[in-house]
Amino acid sequence: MSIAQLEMPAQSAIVSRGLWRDAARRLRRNRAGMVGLVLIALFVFVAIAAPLIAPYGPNVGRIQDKFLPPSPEHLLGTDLQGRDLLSRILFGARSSLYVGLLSVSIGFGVGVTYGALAGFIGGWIDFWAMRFVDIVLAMPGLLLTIAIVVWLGPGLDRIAFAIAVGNMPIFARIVRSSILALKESDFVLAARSMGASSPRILLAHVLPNALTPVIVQATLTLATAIIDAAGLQFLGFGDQDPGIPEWGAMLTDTFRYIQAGATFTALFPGMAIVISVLGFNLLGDGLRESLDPRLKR
Amino acid sequence: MSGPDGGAAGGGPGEAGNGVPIVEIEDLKTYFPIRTGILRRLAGYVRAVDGVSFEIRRGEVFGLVGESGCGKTTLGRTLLRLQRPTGGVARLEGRNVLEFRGRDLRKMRRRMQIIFQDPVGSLNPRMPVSDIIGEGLLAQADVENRWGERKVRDKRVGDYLEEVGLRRDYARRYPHEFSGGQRQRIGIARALALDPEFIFADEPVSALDVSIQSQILNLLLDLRDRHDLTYLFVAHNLSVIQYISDRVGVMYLGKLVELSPVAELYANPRHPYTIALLSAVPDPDPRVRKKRIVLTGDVPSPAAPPPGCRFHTRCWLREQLGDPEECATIDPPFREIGGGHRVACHFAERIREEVSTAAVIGVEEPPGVPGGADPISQAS
Repeated sequence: MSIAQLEMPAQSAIVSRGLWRDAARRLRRNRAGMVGLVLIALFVFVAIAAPLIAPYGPNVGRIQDKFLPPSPEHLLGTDLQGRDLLSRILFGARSSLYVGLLSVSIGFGVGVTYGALAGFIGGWIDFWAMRFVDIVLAMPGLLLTIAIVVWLGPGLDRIAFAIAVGNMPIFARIVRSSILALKESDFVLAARSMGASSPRILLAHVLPNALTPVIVQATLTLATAIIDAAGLQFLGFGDQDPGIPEWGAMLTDTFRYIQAGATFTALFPGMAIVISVLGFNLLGDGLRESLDPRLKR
Repeated sequence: MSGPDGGAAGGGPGEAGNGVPIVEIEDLKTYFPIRTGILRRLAGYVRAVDGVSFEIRRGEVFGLVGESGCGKTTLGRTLLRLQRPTGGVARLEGRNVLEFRGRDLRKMRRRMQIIFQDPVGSLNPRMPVSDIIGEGLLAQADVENRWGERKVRDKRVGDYLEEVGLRRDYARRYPHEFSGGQRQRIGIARALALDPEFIFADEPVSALDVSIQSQILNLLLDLRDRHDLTYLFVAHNLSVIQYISDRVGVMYLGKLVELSPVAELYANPRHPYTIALLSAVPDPDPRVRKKRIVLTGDVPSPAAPPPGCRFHTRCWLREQLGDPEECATIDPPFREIGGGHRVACHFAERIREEVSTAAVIGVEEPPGVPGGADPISQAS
C-alpha cells in the first residue's frame, strides 16, 4: 500500500462527484474540446445574432453587383444576384445548424434509446428490433430520406426528420453492440447483487460505458447531415422560400459559376460548413476523452 | 441425503463455525438452454449445476474446488440470485432465496454479496471509487440508515476503505489508478459496505500476484472475524483452499463428489477425483517424490453427462477394480462416511488400499528428477 501512497501528487484537492461532473471538469481542461466548443458557440451566436451583425440583409442585392470579388464593402464578395455573401453565410448559419443539430438530436436520441433498450432487454425483443433496423439499413440512405420528404412534404423540419430517420439505425446498432458486451460484465453483476434496479443499472452503469463510440458517430453524422440537407435543398425539398439562405444550398447553387471565375461563391459557404463541422468533431473528440477517466492527464 | 438437520449433525462443530447452518442448498439445479438455428430451437441443456446439496455453517469458510467449467461459479451465482435457478432450494437462514421476487429480492440481496475474480472487470471504469462502493448503499437506502444522503454514504465508504487497508481519500479516484491488489480490496469493501452475512468469494485471489494473494487471504479471514461473515470460497488453487477453508467441497461436472472438514479431506481423501486432484499439488520439498495420478481424456460435456457416476469415464479406480458395472449405471449417492465426511463413490471404503497400488495406472514421475538421482546435486 505504501508504494501507492507515495505516488499520486497533489491533484487530490479536487473531490470527485460522479462521472458527469468529473467529465465536465476534464472537458474544461481539454484544449481541442474547448476549441470545438468555442467554434460551436461562435456559430450559435452568429445564427442568433445574424440580423444584428450582418452588414446587409440576406436578400438585398442589385443584379449589376453580381460576382463582385471580396472588397471592403462586401468582405466575402457577392453572388449571382449581387447579394452580400458574408451576410448570407451569417444568416445561413441558422438553417444549417438547425437542420444539423435537429437531425442529429432526433437520430441520436431515438437511435440510442432504441438500441440501448433492445440490447439491454435482449431475447425476442432484441431480435425483432434489430431485424427492423436491418430493413431500414438495407434501403439506400438518400433514397429513404427523399421518400420520407416526399411523403411529409418540403420544409427544413421535415428534412431534418428524414435525415434523422436514416441515421437512427446506425446509432441503434452501435449502442446495442456495446451494451451486449457490457451487460454481461462483472461490474454490472456487482450492481445487481447490491440491489440496483434495472433502469439504474442501464443508466448509471451500462450506458455511460457505451456512449463513447456513438458520440464520435454523432459528430461525424452532424457533418454529413448538413451536407445531406444541402443536397435535399438542391433537389428542391427545402424551404420553398428561396430567400432563406442555407449553406448547402449556397454551395450547390453556385457550382455553375465557378467556371465564370467566381470561385469564392462556392469557397466561402464550403468553408463555413467545414469550420462548423470541425468544431463539432473537436467537441466530440473532447467529449469522448473526458468521458473516459483512463485518459486523464 | 443432506437435509437441513441430517448433514450438519453428522459433522459436529468444525474448526470454526458453530455448526448452525446459515445457507442450506438442496438439490440445486442450474441449466442453460442450448438454442440452435435461426428459429432458436431448444436443442438441450448444459447442466452446469445438476443436483447439489450441502450446507454452509455460520462463521465458516466453505471452500469449493474443481476444474474449470465444473459449475462452481454458476452454483455461487445461482445462490446469489444472479443466475436463474432451474430447480431446488437454497435457504438463507431458513428462507428460500430462490422464491424472492421484486422488491423483496432487492432487499434480500443486501445479506449476500459477491467478490469477483477479475479485479479489472469488476469495477466500473467510469465511476469513482466512492460511487462504486456507494452504489449498494444507494440501492439499499431507507429512512433508517439514511444512505440516500451523500454525506452519510461518503462517510461509510471511507470507513470501509480503511477497513480493507486503503486510505479514505482514495474514494475520489478511479479504478485504473489502482494496482490489482488494491482493486481487489475495493471489491471487498464494496461487498462489505452493505454489512452482509454471507459472501461468495469467486476465486478472489486467482488473478493476483502470489505475494499479494496471502495479504488478501488474511484480510478476508480478519474480516470474517470482525464482521461475523460466512464465506463460500471458490478456488482452483488447492493450497489456497487448504489455508483458508474450514470445510471443502469438491465438484465435478455439476455435482459435488466429496465434502469434508479440510484436514480430513487432505489427509484422507475418499473420492478418486479428489485423490487425483491432490496428487497434482507440487510438494515444496524437491526431494519428495510424489506419485501423480494423471487423469486421461477430457471432461465430458455437461450438456450430455455420462450415465451412472459422472466420473466413471476418467476414473482410475474403476479401471483398477476391473470396470465394475455399477459405475456406469448407478449414480452413486452422496453419502456420509463418518466425521462429517461425505463422498459420492461406490467404492469409497476400498479406495485407501487401492491408492497404494495405483502406481500401475497413469502414474508419472515428477518431471526433472530422474529416478534415484539426488535432486540437490543436480540443481547446481
